[in-house]
Amino acid sequence: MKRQPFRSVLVANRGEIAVRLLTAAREMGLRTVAVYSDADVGALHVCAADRAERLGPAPARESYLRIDAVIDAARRSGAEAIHPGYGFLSENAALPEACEEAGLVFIGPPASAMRALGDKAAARQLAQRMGVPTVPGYDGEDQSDATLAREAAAIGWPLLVKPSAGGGGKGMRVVPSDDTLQEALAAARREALAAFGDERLVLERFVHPARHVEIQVFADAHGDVVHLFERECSVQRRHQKIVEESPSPALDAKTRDAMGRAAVALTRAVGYRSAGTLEFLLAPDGSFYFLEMNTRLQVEHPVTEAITGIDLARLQLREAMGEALGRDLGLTPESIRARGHAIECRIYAEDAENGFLPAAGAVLRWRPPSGPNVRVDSGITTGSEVSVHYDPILAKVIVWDEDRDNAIARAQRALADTVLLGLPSNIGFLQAVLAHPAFRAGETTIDFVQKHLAQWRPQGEPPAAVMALALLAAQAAESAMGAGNRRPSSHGPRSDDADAFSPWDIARSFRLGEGEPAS
Amino acid sequence: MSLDGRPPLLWRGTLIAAPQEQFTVSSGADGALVLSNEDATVVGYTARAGDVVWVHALGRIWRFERAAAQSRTRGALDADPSGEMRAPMTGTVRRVDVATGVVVVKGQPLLLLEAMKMEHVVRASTGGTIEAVTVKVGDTVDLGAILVRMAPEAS
Repeated sequence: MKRQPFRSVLVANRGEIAVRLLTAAREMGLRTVAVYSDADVGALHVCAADRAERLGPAPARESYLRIDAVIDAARRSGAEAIHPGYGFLSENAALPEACEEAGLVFIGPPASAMRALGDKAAARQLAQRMGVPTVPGYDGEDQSDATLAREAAAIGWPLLVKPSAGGGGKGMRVVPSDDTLQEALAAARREALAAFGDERLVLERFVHPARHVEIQVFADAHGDVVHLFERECSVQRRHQKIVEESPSPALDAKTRDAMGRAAVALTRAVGYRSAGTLEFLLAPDGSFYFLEMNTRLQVEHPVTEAITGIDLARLQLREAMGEALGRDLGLTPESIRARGHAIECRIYAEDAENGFLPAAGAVLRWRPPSGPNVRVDSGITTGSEVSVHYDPILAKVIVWDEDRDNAIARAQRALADTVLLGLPSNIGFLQAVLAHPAFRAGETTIDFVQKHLAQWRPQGEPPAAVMALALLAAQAAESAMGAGNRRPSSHGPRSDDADAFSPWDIARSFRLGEGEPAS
Repeated sequence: MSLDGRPPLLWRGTLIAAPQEQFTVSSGADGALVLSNEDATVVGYTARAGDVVWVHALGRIWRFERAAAQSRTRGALDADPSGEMRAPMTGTVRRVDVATGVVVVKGQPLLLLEAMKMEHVVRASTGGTIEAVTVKVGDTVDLGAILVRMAPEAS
């Protein structure tokens, strides 16, 4: 394997992952190229690169999902390598093929490995051949309604329907009985087609109550494969992960070892390269079933980075340059150690108080938390516009501490310090997850949210000071609008430390609900 | 100064009363507002988007709405006695299942909205007859926009 050092990299993505990858490339001294759609002109990830190239109109199909536009952008900007991030084109085998044709380095697995493992049905069949257990189900090519209905009845209820080409829970749904099967199949096909351009579905027995435990693997072009332990991602809402952690509160050393060996074996079998994740269901009795492999860097990769101290994005870039895990990078199964406990909380643009509907709008204020062992990967800043066109993930708050209890306390503090104003988010809901006794006890099964927080609403009346702040904010906005009509004498003296550009023009002291104080 | 006579604010649909406590207000670092009295000091960040007022204080985010705005945002999800079905979120109309004159039962799918790759089925909040469908496939609709007008059946 010859070395192919490149000096510039294009990140074919947007949002927090684009920022994170561009930052890793800059730290290696590489020239960086961002891409954007018309909805993302001036977005944070565009500002994080040395150069930016337009892909097309706002809809992903006309911009971030267009391989030809991405390759063109690389040509125009002189980029020598392409990192796909997650989502969009990251698991589309046509991208590495197009890169090869264009003489560009693709940062990720070869197209052949993506095809062998990225497709859920193919991956299940491979695992079965290798003796890795899988959940009973149907993953055949015959996708007719009649066949799916017959197979569903054979597998039994409740049943899980998911896109064959999918990831991230998009288009996945639990079907409780055959009454609702046809409606579920139709909806899953539409969402699969919209999200992945492929409407094939997989049916699976719904193992319950299970945990979602995944193994991070990394492979190089020289045949070395290592795993970097597990992440538990059981806390999900509608199959969307919201809190991830490592180590799993439920995994013993023996099961971890068995899972890790199965993951490494599967990865090796397909000639994999770069970062990948093998997802398993962990049943209450400790048995585990292989679900699928995600042939990309995952949203939750910072959890692994926090417990191992390994920068997975940099590792991907160096591996893509032809460096060997053991010889060049010093990474062997013996050298990889996990320490402490890490937790990631995903902040979504979702109206958690209103049925978790997607929320678009302007970020009027973003003030991320900071402090020792608090990391924030964010794709937004004050003034960002969150559009309806893309994934609702805005930012991730990742914390590390010596043990789980302290990590939870740190995560709670970090979320309490997260200021996100202007559009609804799930921050309050994340706080409810972390505060819940079942979460604190490590009872994190996939039905955690359904079981404990299905009826969640924000608790507690706003205290007087909060109401005063709200009334002040409403008041200030009106004052600002009607500034020309104000009588100067009706206002108290400005405080000396007032921000000259502040819309606030308020008395130092006031009494809410009463008349004008003497000034 | 007085905050009386201002548009009242709602928290989770309930009118909030102006507190009877006195605070001293000053501006803190990074645009914060610092409210203090003899009992406590509270640091807050605020913003207003249309009829929604946002506050970050005491470790969480609080959303208030101006009273007049409530019917528009909250009514979107609830049964609307006037028979207007409104968009519960900003999104794109992917499918329309009904047309003028069609009789629907409560819970029947009327149309399909999509945003951020998630689908949301808008269902009839009550049984009745469709009087008008005000959107078509491909339209982008704002939160609170009228989608369908219905004549609710007499109950």
